[in-house]
Amino acid sequence: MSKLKFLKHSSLDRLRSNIAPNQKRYTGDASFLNDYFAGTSWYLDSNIVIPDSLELQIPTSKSDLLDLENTRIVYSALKHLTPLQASQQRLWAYFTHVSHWEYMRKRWPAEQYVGKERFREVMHERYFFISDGSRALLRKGMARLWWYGYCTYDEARSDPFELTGALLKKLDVAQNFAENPFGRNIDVIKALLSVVMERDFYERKRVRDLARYINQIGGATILDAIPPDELRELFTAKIDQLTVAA
Amino acid sequence: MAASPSPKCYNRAYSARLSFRKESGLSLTWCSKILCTVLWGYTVMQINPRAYPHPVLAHWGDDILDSTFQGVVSGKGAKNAYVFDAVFKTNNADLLTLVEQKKAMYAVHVECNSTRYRNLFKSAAEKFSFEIGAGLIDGRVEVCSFVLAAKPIDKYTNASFHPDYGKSIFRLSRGDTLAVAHDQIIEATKKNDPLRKIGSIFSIVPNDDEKATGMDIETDGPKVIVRLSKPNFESYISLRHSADYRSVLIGSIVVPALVEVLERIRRAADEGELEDYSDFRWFVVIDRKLRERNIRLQEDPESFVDSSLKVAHELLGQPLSLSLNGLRAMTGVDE
Repeated sequence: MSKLKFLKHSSLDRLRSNIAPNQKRYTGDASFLNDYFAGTSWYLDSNIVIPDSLELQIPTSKSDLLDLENTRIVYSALKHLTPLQASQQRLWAYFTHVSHWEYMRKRWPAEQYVGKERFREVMHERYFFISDGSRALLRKGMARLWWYGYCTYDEARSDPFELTGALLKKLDVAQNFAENPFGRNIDVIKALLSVVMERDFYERKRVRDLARYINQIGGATILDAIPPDELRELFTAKIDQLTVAA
Repeated sequence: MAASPSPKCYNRAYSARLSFRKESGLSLTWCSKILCTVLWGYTVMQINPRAYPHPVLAHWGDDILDSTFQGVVSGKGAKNAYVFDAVFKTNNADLLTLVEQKKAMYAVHVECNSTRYRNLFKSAAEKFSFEIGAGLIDGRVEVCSFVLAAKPIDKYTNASFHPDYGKSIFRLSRGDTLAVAHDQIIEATKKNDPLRKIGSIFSIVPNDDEKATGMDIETDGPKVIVRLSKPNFESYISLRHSADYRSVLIGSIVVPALVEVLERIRRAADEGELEDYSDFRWFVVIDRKLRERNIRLQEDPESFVDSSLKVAHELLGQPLSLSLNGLRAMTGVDE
C-alpha cells in the first residue's frame, strides 16, 4: 500500500493557468511535471492509503473506451474516499498528469485539439475541472471513474457494478441521468437505472424524453421524498408509456 | 406528479391562476434575493417563483391567502459533521392539520454542488435537527425548506385558497410541494479554511507564454490566478520572502488584481450574471467582506458606490501607506 499523492496548490494553479503554452507537453509520451517543476517541491503525500498499483485498462479503439472496466478498478480501489476528498482537484490532477498519464493520452488524445481554440477548454475539462462544480466531477478524466462508481455501486447486487453498466452503456444515459440535478440523489438514480436496465431502455430520444419528464415532475414534487419502490413504479410507468408511444 | 381528480377541474383552475398572474403583471421569471443571518455569516436567499399544478403557499404568490410559511435552517460545524437546526412556522390551519395527521411533513432539502450532495431531511415536528458528515459537503450549500405531502392526498383543499380556485380539489402524490419557504445558501467551510482571508484568494504564478508581458488574471477557478510574465515572476520570487518588500509587492500586484476582480463582479452584478461566480471560493470571501461594508451586490448592485480602487485598498487594509513607508525606509528618506 502507498499514500495517495496530490499536487500542491501552487503547482495546480500554475499548471491550470498555463494550459495553452503547454500544448506540446500535453502531447508527449511521458508526464512532464518532473521537468516542468524541476527543483521545486510540487506534490504532497496525503494520509489516504491506496493500493500500490492502480492499473487501468488502456483503450485501444474508439469503439471500446473501457469506461465500465476502469470504473470498477478505480472505485474498487478508492471506495474509502469521502465525496469531499473525491471532489479535490489537486488529487485528480496528480492522477491525470502523473500516475495515469498513459491512460489519459489514449483516452483523450490531445493532438486532435492542438492549435485549435478548444484546446484549453478540452484540457481544462479532462485534466482539471471545469467551473461547473457538479458536472465537472463527471467530466474530469479520472474523477469521473470514481463518481460513476459512487453513484451506482450497489453491494446488494451480485455484481455491485451492475447499475454502473447500465449508466455507461450509452453516453446519452450517463449525460441525461447522472448530469441532471436528480442524478445527484443516489436513491433516485439507482431506482432509475434499475428500471432502465430491466426494460432495456437505451434509445437516445426516449432517454432524453424520460430525463425531461423527470425534470418536469421534479419542479412540483421533491423526488427525494419518494421511497425507492415508488420511484421504480413511477419510472416504470413512464418508460412503458414512452415505449408504447414509440 | 400532482393532479386533480378531474382533469377538467385541474386545467380550469390552473389556467385561471396563470391568467391572473399575467393580469397582475407578475412575471414567472421574477427573482428576488433577501439577506438573512445564519451561523456561518450570511446567506443569500434565492427565490425562483414557479407555477405549480396545484396551489402552493409561497412567499412570491397568492395561491393561498392570509397565510405565511417560514423555514429557517441554521448550522454549526462539529468535529466530524455539520449539525443543522431547522425551525418551521406556519399559520395556515389546514396545513397544520395535515401535518398533525401525518399527511404532510416539514422538510429540508440540501444540495452541495461541489460534492454532488443531495438529500432530504423530514419531520412532523416544527423543530428538528439533522447532521451531515463533514466529508459530504463543502463550500456553498443550498438549503430549501418545504411542507410536502407525506403520502398521497386524494382531496387536497385549503380554506385559504385564492377565490380563483373556487371549490377546486386536488389529488397530490407523496413529495408534492404544499408550501415553500425562502431558499438559503449556507457556506460550509472549515474554521481554519485558509481561503477566508482576502490575500489568500490570490495565487501568483508565472505565465509560461514567452510573449507574455506584465500581468493578467483569471477568475474562473476557486482562486484568482495572477499571471506574471516570466521575468516579472522571477523578480517577484526573489523579493517575496523579504518583509521589507512585502507591502510594495502587495501594492504593485495584489491591489491592481483586486481592482480588476471588483470591476468584473460589478459588471456581472449590473448585468444580472453574478450567479456565474457564486460557486467560486474567492467570490464567497470577497462577497462576505463587501457585505461587512454594506455592499450587497446580489440584492442591490447600486450599493457599490465607491470606486473599486478605494474599496480594494479598504479590503486589503490600506496597503498604500505601508508600501510608501516601506519604500521610505528602504531608500533612507526621512522626514
